[in-house]
Amino acid sequence: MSKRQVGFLFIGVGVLAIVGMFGMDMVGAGQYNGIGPAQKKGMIVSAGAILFGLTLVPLGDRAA
Amino acid sequence: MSATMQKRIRLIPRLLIILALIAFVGYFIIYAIYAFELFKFPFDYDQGEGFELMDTVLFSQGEWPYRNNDIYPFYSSNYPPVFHLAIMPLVWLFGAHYWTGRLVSYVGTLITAAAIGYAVQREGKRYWLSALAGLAFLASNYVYHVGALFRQHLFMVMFETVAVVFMTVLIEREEADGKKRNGLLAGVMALLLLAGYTKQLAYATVAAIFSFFFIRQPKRAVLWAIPFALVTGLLFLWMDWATDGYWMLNTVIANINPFVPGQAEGLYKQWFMLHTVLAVTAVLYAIYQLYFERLSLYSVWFVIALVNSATAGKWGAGESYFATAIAASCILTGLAFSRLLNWAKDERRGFWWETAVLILIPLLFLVQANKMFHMPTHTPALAAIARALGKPTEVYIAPQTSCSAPRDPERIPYVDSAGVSLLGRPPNAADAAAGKKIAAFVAEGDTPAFAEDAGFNFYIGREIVTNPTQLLNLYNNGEVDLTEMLAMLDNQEFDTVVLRAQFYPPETLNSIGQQYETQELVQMNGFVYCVMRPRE
Repeated sequence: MSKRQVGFLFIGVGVLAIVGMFGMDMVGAGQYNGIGPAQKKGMIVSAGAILFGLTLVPLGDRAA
Repeated sequence: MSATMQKRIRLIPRLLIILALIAFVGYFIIYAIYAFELFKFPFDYDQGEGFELMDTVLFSQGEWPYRNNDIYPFYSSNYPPVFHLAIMPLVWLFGAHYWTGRLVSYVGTLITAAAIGYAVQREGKRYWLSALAGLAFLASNYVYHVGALFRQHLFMVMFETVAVVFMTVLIEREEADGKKRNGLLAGVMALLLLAGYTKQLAYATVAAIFSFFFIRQPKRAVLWAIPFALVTGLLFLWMDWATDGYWMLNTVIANINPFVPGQAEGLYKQWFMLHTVLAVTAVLYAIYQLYFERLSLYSVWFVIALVNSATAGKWGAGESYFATAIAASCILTGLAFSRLLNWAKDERRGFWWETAVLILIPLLFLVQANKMFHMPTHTPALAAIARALGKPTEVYIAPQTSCSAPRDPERIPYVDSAGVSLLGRPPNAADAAAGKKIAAFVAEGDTPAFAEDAGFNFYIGREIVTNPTQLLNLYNNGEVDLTEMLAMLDNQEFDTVVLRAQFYPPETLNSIGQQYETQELVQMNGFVYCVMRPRE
């Protein structure tokens, strides 16, 4: 895999995790109204994964 | 500058390398002293060792240790079997002794250190640096504390480290000549399986190896992940079937413990303060590889192991959960320093750059050695060395009490940068005498002791009753029925109860409190044991 692909992988996982966390609220699985403490931590981790992925994208086709 | 002057300046890095080697060989000698004192000690040093011995005894008799905790002797194990199976031949040959498991765990740490040294040597080709990287692992306060105990954690780290090193060698060879080496890859998978069935925590290394494999060869990684998952899962299902579901109950459900964020945070801080040079070098080298060259498996392993070290915050977990990250950081440090030395050795850099780097690296190892300082000072020679190094020669720690009144701090001939530690001080003759005293007390009765340590019953050849932390885990998860146990305690069917930390479920402790009273307080290994008899 290239560094760019690994970057996209992290971005994808981060986005999916955030979508999944909001999806849980939509099906009523959360314990809290609004964003709960676990969701908040999960969002921070997901945002970190997205940001990390973004730093790898510019590195292009170099082998990861 | 004259050639003679250059020759003289060259002596400085050589001297520093020798000093660094002396420091880390010194730690190795201290580790060996501690290990040999532990081999001689016939009782539990760390709570839970005796239950690992009990698991080994059960395996050696062809029985599973994953049992029904609701019925007498209320015993079960919460650990997978590989460590105990490895010790089994020693138990067959020599009987149920604590030294068997302590020896196997100790040898496991030596193999890990050798694997770290090999990983650095094959790339760096500098024996002194490879030796320092391997010895740095053994010098870690955490490895020292638990490496020679009858605990399976560092045996898992051994399998993990050897698997990672083999995988690195395999991928490099395959990429060099384009030939697939499926036999060696199957060997790596077998090592991962052994690691996982030594302790569940090895999943982090499994994740690291397959992540790296996926980055390098995505299709092949998926193709190998399927049979690996299948074999792991089938083995799990077979053991669960063979134990009527007690494998799943005792190794999975019982391990769902509360997470204590403060404990995890404290351990991360302590790990960093004790291993600063190794940690910073490993992080910097991993970042360098990520952005400026190809990622190595070692970097992926280090990052995943470090994140997974957060599980040290679980109730019942602790410092040893950092051992995998420490092994990875030792390899990365050795490799980073090798690269730096190669860079400085280039003729274009000149004499001063090479000399500066050659001075810097052993100096950093000496800084690391100072940060992880730990030394028993129970002999005049060791106390003199500690004094000469400007370190204290003793600390004052109050014995741990749970079932008796607090006691005043006592002089302990052991110093450790990790702070107050109940692990690390070699057990002495007084500890052994204390253990024998409790065992003699148990022997006066006719029944096995209802005891938080297995050692006293082992010592007099009686049955092992209860595994307190396992009972508490199951109790907290609503998975144990204490009716039979409470009835036996209420009927005073045990002649002796021995408490050390009151790990039993509250209802059990309540029943003990109502039916038994303390007859003796005996101090062993810094713990005050309450030895109890039935109330009149």
